[in-house]
Amino acid sequence: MLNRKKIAKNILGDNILLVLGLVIAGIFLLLDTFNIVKPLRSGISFIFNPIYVDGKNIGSGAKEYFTTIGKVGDFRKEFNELKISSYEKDINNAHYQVLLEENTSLKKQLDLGNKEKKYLLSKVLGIENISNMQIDKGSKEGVEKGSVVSVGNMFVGIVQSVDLEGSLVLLPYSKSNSFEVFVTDVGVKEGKVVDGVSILSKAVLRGSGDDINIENISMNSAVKDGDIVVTMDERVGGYLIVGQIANLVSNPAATSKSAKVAPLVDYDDLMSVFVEIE
Amino acid sequence: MKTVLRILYIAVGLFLLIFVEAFFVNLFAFRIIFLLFLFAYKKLDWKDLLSVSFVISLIMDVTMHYKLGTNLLLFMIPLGVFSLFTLFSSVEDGIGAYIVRFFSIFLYYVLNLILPSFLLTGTLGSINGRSVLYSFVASLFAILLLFLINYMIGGIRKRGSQSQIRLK
Repeated sequence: MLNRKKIAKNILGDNILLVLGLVIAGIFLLLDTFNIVKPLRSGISFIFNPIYVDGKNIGSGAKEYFTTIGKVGDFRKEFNELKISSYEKDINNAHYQVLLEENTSLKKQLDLGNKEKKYLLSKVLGIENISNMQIDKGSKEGVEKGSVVSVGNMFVGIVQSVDLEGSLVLLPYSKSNSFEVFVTDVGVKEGKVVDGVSILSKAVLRGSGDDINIENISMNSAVKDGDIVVTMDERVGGYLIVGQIANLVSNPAATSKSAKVAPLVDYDDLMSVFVEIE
Repeated sequence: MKTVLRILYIAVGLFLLIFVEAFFVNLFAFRIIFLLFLFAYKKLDWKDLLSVSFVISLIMDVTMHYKLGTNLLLFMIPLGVFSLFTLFSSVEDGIGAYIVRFFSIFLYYVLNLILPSFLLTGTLGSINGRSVLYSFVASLFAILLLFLINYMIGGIRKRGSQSQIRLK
């Protein structure tokens, strides 16, 4: 009997912390239920809440940092998807740019004085040595050798050779090109003659590979830099603007004046042209 | 003077402990205070341990917006289980000691999921497979940490005893 009591006392002695802890916890739970310890709560909160909140915030910040590192794979995947999406948008944008350019070209073409002729919209495939232009329309669409290529009222070139699916256009820069032209001083706005035409001089236009030369300008004419050069050749079959006079050379010993012609459009920038078809 | 210094140490220690606890709970949901409590159990005088754990638990209750006494109860229930094991076998040393401690810590984590909510609202907190699994992993990590601390302290003690003069 005495031994049992001793064992029980030993067990209690070993676990006095546990027993007291449970009793205190119970008491405080009870007290807090009845709001008796509110001042104590307020005091502890005033002293320890700032340090707890700081620890919590720093811990949350560090967690966010580690979470970000852990999700690097996801971020990379997302980045790749965004990159692809961006490329797709670039492609779409480029497509819209092409459509816009085509639209602008069509508008110019619709503004033509001579609307009786038939024009075939064609895409420029490439330009070689600023003399030759490849286009995507050929004999299949009715393009023939000698067809005139233009954009609005601006002269682009003459079809030199025709395949089934494409054609080669000789630009005014080509050494093979030679046209009869006239020079006028009327104003040109956006490739259109805006005033009555007064011929200052007739002349001959020749390509030299690097430049477009104009020769045989009458010595007595009042041609000056900036005047407009307009085709007047049976092969072209209409008045189309080639460019403006530049670097006019007037040699008193010579019988005529010569100059360079600066095209109104940069042929390299052309994406759509119109082929005149019969 | 000694008493004043002791109070100062305890105050600074309390602030540090609260900060570290809040930091780790928010970072890994890892609770360090119970680990320290378990580590100090039977190493410190029970009166000291009870007073310190009582103060800490009160602070934790207030900062976590629990009912006062919740954290003390959370300490005592796993400790009760731990003490129950001591009746049947030795939990001072060996792998058995760590297994018992592991279950105590695991119980502490699981109780943390359900008990505060129960005491506050009368309904058990949400507990699912994932949270139990996380508690299991955290307990495993805690027991590893406890093992390492014990190992390191054991090493220091050994080194200390080497300098003693031994008579054969």
